[in-house]
Amino acid sequence: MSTVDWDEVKRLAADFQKAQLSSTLQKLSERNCVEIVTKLIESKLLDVIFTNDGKEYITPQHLGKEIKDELYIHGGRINMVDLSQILNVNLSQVSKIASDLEKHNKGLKIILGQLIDKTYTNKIAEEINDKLMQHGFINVSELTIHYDLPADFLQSTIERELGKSICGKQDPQDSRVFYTESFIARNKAKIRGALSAITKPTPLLAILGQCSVSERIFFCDLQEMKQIPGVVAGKQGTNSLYIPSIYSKSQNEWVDNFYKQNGYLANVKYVLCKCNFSEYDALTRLGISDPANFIRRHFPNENIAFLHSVAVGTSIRDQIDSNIEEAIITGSFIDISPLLPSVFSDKDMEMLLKIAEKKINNNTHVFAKTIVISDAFLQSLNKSFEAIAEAKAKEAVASGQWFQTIAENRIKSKSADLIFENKANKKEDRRKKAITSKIGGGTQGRETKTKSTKKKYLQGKNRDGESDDENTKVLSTKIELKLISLEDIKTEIAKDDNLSVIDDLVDELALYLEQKINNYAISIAKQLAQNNKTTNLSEVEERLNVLVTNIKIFDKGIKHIDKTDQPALTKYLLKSLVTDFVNELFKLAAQQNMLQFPENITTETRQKMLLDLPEDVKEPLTNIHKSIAGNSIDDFLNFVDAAMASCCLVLKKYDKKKERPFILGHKEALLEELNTTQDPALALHLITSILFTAATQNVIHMSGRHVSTVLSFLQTQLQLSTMEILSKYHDMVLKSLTSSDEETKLDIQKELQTGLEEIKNIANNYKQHLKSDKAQENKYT
Amino acid sequence: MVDESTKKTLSNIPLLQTKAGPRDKELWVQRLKEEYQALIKYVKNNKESDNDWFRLESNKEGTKWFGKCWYIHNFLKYEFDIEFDIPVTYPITAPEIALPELDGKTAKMYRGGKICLTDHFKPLWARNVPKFGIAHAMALGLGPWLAVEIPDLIEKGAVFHKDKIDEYKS
Repeated sequence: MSTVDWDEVKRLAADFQKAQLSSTLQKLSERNCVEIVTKLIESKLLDVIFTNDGKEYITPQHLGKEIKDELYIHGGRINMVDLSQILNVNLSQVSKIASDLEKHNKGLKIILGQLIDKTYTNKIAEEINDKLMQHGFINVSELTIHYDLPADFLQSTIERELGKSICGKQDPQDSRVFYTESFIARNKAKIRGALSAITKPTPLLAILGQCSVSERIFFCDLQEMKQIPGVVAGKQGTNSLYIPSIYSKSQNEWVDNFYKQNGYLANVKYVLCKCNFSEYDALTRLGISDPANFIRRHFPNENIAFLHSVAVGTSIRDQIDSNIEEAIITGSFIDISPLLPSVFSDKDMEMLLKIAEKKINNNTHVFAKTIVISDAFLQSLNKSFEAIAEAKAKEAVASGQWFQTIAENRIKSKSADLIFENKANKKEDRRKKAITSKIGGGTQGRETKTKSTKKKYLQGKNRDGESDDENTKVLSTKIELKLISLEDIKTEIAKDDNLSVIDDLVDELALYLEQKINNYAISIAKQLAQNNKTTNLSEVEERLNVLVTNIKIFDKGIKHIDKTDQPALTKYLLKSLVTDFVNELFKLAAQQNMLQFPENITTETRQKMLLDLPEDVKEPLTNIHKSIAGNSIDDFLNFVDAAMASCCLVLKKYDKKKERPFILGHKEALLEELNTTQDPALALHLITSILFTAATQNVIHMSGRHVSTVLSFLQTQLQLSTMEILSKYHDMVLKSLTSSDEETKLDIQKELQTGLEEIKNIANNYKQHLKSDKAQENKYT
Repeated sequence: MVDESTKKTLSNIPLLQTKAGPRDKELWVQRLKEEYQALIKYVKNNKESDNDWFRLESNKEGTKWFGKCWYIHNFLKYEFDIEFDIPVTYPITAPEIALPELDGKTAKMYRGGKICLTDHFKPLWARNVPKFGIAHAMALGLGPWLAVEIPDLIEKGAVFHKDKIDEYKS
C-alpha cells in the first residue's frame, strides 16, 4: 500500500516537474498589445486603421477590399455614411480610402458622398431609356428627384449614353429635356392638326390646353413648321394669339366690304353686339392693337374720320353735311341720328357733328347731341315765345306780383330764390284765375281791369320799338324771377310734333330758351313796371282829387236839405263815394308797401291791411277809415289831407271856380240819362235830382230812398201843379214797387209810362216849374 | 491584507484535506500527494496566466524543498534560489521559505535568508490548517514578498542583474 502511495508521490513529483518545465505560454496582455501596436504605428512600422470601437485594427488594403465588396452587394451605389457604419470604420477613413479607390479605378465615382460604380450608371441609363420609351420625353430635373442624384451627373450620363443605350433626342433649346423621335413626330402632328383646324384667332394657351402639348415643344415645333396656315401675333409666349390666315383674310374682306357698303367702320366692341363680330376685337386678334392705325393702313387713300367708336368715310360725312346745310337753308332743324347706322353711339354723332360744324360756318346749334338746329329756326322759336313772354310780363306787373317779387328779392337771400319762384308761380296762377273769372263782373273789378288793360295796351305800343334788342340783359342776375316756367316752355315746344318726337330735344331746347325768354320777359316786365308806377300814381291822385271835390260838392248839396233829413243823406254819401275813395287809397297804400289785397275791399279787409301797414301810413289811414263809420263828411275831409300825404299824394285845393262847371256838367249828364231812360223810378229819381240842382244850384247825391225827402224839400220851391204831378207820380212809383198784385202793378206801370213824358218835360223845362228863380237863388246862394 | 490578484490565485489552488506531517508516515504520503496536486494546479494556472515565476523540487520524502524563483523588473529577470524544510509540526506550522542569496541584504529577512512574512500570513495560515499547503505558502508568502522587496532592493543597488554582474565581473 505505502509503496503504491510512494510510487504515486514519485509520479506526482515527476508530473510536477513536467508541469514546471513545460514551456510557458507566451501570452501578451491586451494592454500590452495596444501599447505595442501604438508603438508600431508611431514608429510607422505598421499601417493600420482603428475601427470605431477601437477594438480592431484593419489595414487600408483590406478596407479598400471591403468597400468594394460592400459596393458590389449594394448594387453599385452606396452612401459613405452607410459604409462607415457597416464597416465600423471612421467616415473620414472610409472617404479617404474611397477617394483613393476612385483615383485608381475609372469605373468608380464619388457623387454627393455616395460611391457609384460603372454598373450602376449603366443600370440608370437603361432605366432612363425605358422611361423615355414609355413617356416619350424625359426631364433631367425629374430624374434628379427620382434618383436623388445631381442633375449634372445625370445630364452627362444621359448625354454619354445618348445614341448608345438611350435612344432619344435632346431638346435643342433646353438641354435638360430629351424626347424620342416618335414623341416629337406625334406632337408635331397634333399641333399641325390643331392649327389647321382653327378658323378664328385663338390664344395659344387655349390651343396648348386643347392639344395637351407642352408649351416648349409647341414653340419649338412652331418655329420648325413652315406650312402652318396662319401667323402667331403678339409677344412670344402663351399670351400671344394664333391667327389663321383664313381668318385674317376673311377679316380683311369683311372690313373692305363693310366699308364699301356702309361708308364707315365701327371699330369698337359695339359691332360685336351687332354683327357678332368686332372690328376692334378682330384687329387686336390680328395683332394690331390700334384699330385706328389699322384702318389708316388698310385704306390709305380714303379720307377717314376717326370718331370715338367708329371710323367714318367721306360718303357718310358728305351726307351729314348736306343734310345740315339743307336744314340751315330751310331754317329748320335736323336730327342726324336716323341718318346714321345704329352702331353710332351718341358720342360718335357728337364728334361727327363737331367735324361738320367746323366745315359749315357756325350758325347752327347742336341739341340732344344729334340734332342740329339752324339759327333761323331758333330765332323763329324765340319769336313765338316772345308773345307769351310779353303776356306773362304784363300779367305779372298788373297783378302786382312783379313789385312784390322785386321787394321780396331785396329782402330774401339768393338761396331762397328757388322756393320763391315756385310760390310766385302759384300766386300767378291764382291771380290769373281770379282775373279771368271776373271779366265783366262787379263795377269795381271792371273799373280797375279796364284801366290796367288800357295801360298795357299803351305800353305794348312802347315796347314794340324796343323788341328788337332781345339780347340786352337788363336784369341783374340777382333777380331770378321766372315769369315763364320751364314746364310752360316745354309744353309749348312739345306742341310742335316734329320737335316733340325726338327725345330730350324738348327738354334741351326748353332749357336753352328758358333763360333767354325769361330775361326778355323780365326786361319787359321791368319796363312795364316803371311806366306803371308813375302813371298809376298821378292817375290815382287825379281820381282821388276828383272824388274829394265831388264829395265836397255833394256835401254842400246835402246842407240845403232840412236838418232832419241830412244825416241819412250824409250816411249814404259816406257809404258810396267816401268808401270808394278810401278803398282806392288803401289799394294804393298796399301797392306802395308791397302788400297783398283782395279785389273787393270791405271794412274788415281794410282793418286787416291796416295791421300790415307801416306806422307812418297806418295812423292817417286808420283815421280816415274810422271816419267812414262816422256821420260827418267834415270829419272825413279833415283827415283826407293827411291820409293822401301818407301815400305821397297831394290834395288839391278846393277850387270854387270848378264848382259851377261841375254842377252844370252833372245836371247835363243827369238830363241825358233821363232822356234815355224808360224806367219810371229812375226817371223820377233823376228828375228829383235835376230839380234839386235847379232849385238850389247845388248837386245832390242820393239814392232812390231819399227821393221823397228831397221832393218834400222841393215842395216849397216848386209850383203847385208841378209838385202835384211829381208827388202823384212818386206815389205811383212807390205803389208799383210795393204792390204785390200783378194786375194793379201792370196798370200802374202803364200809367207811369204815360206820365213819364210829362215828368220828363218837367225836368227839361225845370225853370218854368220853379216858383221864383231869383228869389230862390238869392235865398240860397 | 491580501490583494485581489493574490486572492484570485489562492481561490484557484485546490485546498488540501489531509492533516498530516512528515512523521505521520501513511498519512504524510496522502498529504504529500495532495501537496503535489495543488502545486501542479498552481503551476499550471501560473503558466496559463503567463505568470510562471518559480521552479520547485523536493527530496524523496518530500521534507526538503529547493528550487528557483525569479522576478522581472524593468524588462530584466532577477533569479534567486529557494530552499525550505517541512517543519515537523507541519501543517500547523507554516514552512519557512528562505532565499539564501539575499541573506543580510534586507531587513525583512531572518537569519539564514528566511523571509519575513507579513503579519497577516500566520493568522491566515492558522485559520486554514490543514487546508493550506506549500502552494498556498508560495502564493501567499513568497509571491507578495518578492513583489515588494525586489524592486526596493534593486533600487538600493543591493541586487544586480546577472548580466550586469557579468559585465561588472568582466
